[in-house]
Amino acid sequence: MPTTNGQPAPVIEVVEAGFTYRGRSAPTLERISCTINPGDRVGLLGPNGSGKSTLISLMLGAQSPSAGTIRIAGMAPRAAAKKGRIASVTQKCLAELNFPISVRQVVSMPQNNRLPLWKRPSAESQARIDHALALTGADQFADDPIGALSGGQLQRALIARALATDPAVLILDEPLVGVDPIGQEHFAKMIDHIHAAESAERDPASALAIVIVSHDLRAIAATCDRVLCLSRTIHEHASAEGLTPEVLAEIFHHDVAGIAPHHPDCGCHH
Amino acid sequence: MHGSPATPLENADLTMAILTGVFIATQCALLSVLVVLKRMAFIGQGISHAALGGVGIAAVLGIMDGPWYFLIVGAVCVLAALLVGWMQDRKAIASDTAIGIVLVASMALGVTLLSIAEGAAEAAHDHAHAHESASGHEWEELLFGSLTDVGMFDAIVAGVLLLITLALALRFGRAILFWAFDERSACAFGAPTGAVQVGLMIALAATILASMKLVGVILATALLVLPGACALRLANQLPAVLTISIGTSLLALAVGLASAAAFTIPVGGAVVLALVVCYTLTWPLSRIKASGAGDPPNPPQRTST
Repeated sequence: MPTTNGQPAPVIEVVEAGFTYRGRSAPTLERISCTINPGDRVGLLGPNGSGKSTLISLMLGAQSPSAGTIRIAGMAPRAAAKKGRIASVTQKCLAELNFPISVRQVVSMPQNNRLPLWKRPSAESQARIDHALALTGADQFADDPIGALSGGQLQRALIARALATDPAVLILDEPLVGVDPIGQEHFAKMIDHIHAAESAERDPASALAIVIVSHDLRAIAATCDRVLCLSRTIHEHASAEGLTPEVLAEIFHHDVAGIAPHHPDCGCHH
Repeated sequence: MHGSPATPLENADLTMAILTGVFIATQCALLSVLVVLKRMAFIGQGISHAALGGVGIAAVLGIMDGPWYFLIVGAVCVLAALLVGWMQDRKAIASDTAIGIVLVASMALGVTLLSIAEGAAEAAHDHAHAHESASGHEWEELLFGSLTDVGMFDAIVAGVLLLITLALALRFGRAILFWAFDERSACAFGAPTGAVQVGLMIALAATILASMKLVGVILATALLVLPGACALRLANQLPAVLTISIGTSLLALAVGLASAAAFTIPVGGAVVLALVVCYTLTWPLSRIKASGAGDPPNPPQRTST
């Protein structure tokens, strides 16, 4: 596992967190504890209804845990999200894609949204935006209208937007739903490239951590070093290799056809 | 309100009407781009109908013009806008249902209070005034606008409103764009989305209020939809969209005012018909542009709910 040099301050620290939706008796999340360090590439695996989206919303500060604590880059989640220290790209893009703006304008939105129109963004901010566009390959269509992009290009643009805020951790929620095998391969290469570039350029204690949330082990095995299996609580695995259908069935208490690869080995060797 | 749409130029201060029209057309054109992109056309309609409730309250208080009239009608519009926003945020009710309820409630309040005001005036033996204040012509002016009612005060209100809107747009343009493009992400990244939303609702209410006398309650919303809809069919870069929107709005105003003067027809109807003609023309124009430049225009905007 890269860049855990000494004892870097964790980018995500969840301690005994729980969450129960109002009006429900059973908790959605219970006694969740996990630590994600700078430079980690972690998969968060779980079937539908396992609490993945709830845990992500707690990490992003959209909701507060009913029990326990969550710290993001040493801050409360909401404060970290506002400062761009944690950024996410959601499965479903809710943006108004008919908007008459370019990809570059979209990527610059989070950084410059408080700047008056008569002020130009700083050189540092421009450099960060150019870097994020180059990292994701979105620089090739940076001046195209956002509405003219394909699904894969839009995903790159939105990942670039998240990276442009210089986050400590990037969360990608179900990034491979509806993506064909070639698209999945491109995605895995892009994640490798982003991870390698950000690890090489930054000091190890501030290397970018990436969390990939998925219900599909194949998506996680191709891109992550460590797997957190979520089923109301967390079961941690050092790699996807040991997650055979039998192990997954035990964790998730039911058939895992939708999660595990068809062949026990194939998920780990992309 | 003493004019008749059948003879709209009698007593009309045309300079003030034109000046007010230019301010309102520019203001509406700027906002209409956001209204169309954010699918807020129905909200605009709800707010404009809420204005009728305000007119009713003002009538009961015996105020039919001047700063207090603006203040009362404006307050009701802003309250209706904030009420719709609040009902939507609570998610207990669908957005269009919330607007539908506020819309009919305000209209019903307006009709009831205007009728009470008329009754009170009759009871005071002021038959002539009572007859005039609620006559068919008065309603027509309220709903479709009139040149004869527009004076210097209206021009000043519209001018100040435009200046405030331009200043706010320049200061908060980037946050407004982020909110309009992707509200959820804007909120997650700490953009002031709540303030932008409330600000836009108030701007819509104020714009409808300022447009009401010239183009009327029913047609005020048309000015908040059609210029933006035209521009978004013809351009895909924001500066061009805003320029075309303002240009279309001013062109339709000029054609509408000239037609109203030439054919003695209500201004609101004339302006909106001119806008509809412009919008119809954008269809062949966008096709010619697409085939000429190989640059597809934006797809047709989905209708607002």
